[in-house]
Amino acid sequence: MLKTIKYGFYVEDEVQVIFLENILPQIISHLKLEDSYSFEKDSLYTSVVSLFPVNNGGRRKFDVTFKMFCEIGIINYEQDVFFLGRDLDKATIYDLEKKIKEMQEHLGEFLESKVIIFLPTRCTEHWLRYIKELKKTENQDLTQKFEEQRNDTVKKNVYGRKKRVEQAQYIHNLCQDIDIDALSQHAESFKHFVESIQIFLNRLN
Amino acid sequence: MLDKIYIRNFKSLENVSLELQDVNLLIGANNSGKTNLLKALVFFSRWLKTDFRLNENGFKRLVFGQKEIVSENEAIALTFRKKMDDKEFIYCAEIYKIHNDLYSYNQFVGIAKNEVKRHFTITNLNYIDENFPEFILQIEENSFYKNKPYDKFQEIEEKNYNDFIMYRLEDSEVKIEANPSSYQKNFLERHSNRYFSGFITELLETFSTLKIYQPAPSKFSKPYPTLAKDYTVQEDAANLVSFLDNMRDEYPEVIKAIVDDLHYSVEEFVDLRFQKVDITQDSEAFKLYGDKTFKKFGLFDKYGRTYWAEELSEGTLYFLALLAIIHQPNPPKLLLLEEPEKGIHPRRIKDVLEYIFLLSSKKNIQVIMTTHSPEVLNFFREMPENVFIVDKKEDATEIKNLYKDIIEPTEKKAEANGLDMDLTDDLADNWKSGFFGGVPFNH
Repeated sequence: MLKTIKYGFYVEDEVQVIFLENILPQIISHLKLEDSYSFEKDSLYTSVVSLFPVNNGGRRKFDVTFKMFCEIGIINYEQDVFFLGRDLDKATIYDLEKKIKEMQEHLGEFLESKVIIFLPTRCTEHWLRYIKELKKTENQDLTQKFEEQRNDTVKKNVYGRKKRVEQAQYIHNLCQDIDIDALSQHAESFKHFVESIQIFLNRLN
Repeated sequence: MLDKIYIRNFKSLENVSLELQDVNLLIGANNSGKTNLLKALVFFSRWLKTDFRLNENGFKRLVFGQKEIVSENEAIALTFRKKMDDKEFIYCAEIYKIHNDLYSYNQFVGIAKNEVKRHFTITNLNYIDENFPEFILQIEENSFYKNKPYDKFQEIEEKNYNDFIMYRLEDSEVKIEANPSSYQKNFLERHSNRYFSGFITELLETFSTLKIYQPAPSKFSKPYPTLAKDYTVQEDAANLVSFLDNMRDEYPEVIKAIVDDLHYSVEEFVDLRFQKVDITQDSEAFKLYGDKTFKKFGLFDKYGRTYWAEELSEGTLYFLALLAIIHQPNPPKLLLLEEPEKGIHPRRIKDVLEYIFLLSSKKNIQVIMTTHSPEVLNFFREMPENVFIVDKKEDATEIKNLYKDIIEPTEKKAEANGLDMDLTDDLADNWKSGFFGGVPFNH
């Protein structure tokens, strides 16, 4: 029987919202669980609760407030799972694991099992950069490590001269038919994200 | 002070109730119904004073859902609950439309059941609720208690009325024409020497001077005619010049309080100044007010300079108007304020709120105000029970108490799951984050 998993999220910017909405059904398919589970965005929560840190608070604000958002989502809105998305800014898997551990400790035992953290190294556009390149090369000869490039360089490469208002649609289009295996192979932080979802779904069984 | 108000079928307020504190704050998105709540109270005040003129379209626009004809059960109903001298009273007015130009209204009063038991459970009376009115009758010799307790309220709205025994005021079921006489107020006054006297008198006092204050600096920064006995600040404070001029001559203590508070918050200003202004016959002011003595006011600074109203910032003017409202000789018993922070520097908002709280405690004035300001909300950090969250669900306004309906249950649920949650830590941030509601929907 198909179980609908109601989810909420708190992320750093709109790129992560679009990415999350598009990638979740694809991961479910990739894990061959489309007959068992489907993710459904909590529309009441997303229409009322701010999805990003308020007052243009950015990353610092995110770090101070993410636990409260998880509590509101899980406790008040009775969501099954809550996604936390934040750009890591750093490039290494060591930094990724360290930050996730730190966030999990802050969340505590009750929330930890209901929260999935995704921290792209360095920012979400690095994942998008891989996606763009993988589509272009059809996964052939991609040897570049984009994590070595600065955020602004990668963003320029992803968006080109697109105006801000055009970016949302562009990201949405880019995020269709992602090769999950290929992206996981190149972007270790994405692989970690897919594994976190798998662990969560296994726990539901 | 009113303990609870309950409003039914007025504009967007299909069915709302609020347990009031001394100073109350309404927060919510634009068009959620905050102002409608204030307007409902003003409507009742005008209805009592009979200066409210009903007309075909006017009444329709006041009714929830803008219905043409409303039955008794769909009536606009305003209910006020109050504890006085340890006794709990309730009053309800219902206004509805029978057909074109013919309106009807009912009025009810009630006393708390526990009050009845406490005072009148006398052993040899073999007391039961239904017998109580007869017993009161013997004591009070009061005809309108002859009615049996009115059970309609128990049927329609248990939550608000089931602690009370309600009585329909005997001669209140009167058909009135579209433009009512001074009947309502007289009617209540006629009953004011009875068992409910204190309650009704206070209710009349509370609503006799009710206004929604929203000072408009553009109106009172212009010359204005000085009128005799202008002792009350108007809703938009347009008469501020005339009011201040009257205060200077007849209530110097009011002027002193205003100037002292202004100086405390805007340090350079030390006094008020007035100047006569010549108005030509073709000017707008002359056309509006006729041949009067016109004046303008200014603020005198510690360096000996006078800044006339038209030279002052909107914020300073607004602040001065607020001080005038707060310190006027007969301030309303219930003060309704729309966005008192408007035009005030964030650092001075705290001063304004402190004055409002001081006024409330010193002069026993109840305040209901609206805001969109995070600074104002954070001032209520230690009293979230004074804050009401206003939201619109479809067409109807929903009002929740920030503490009882939101913070307390959420924190309890969190605690049950081993979480230590403190939603009062930063009310403004949590409000903007959407944890309390009272926000515009995300796109």
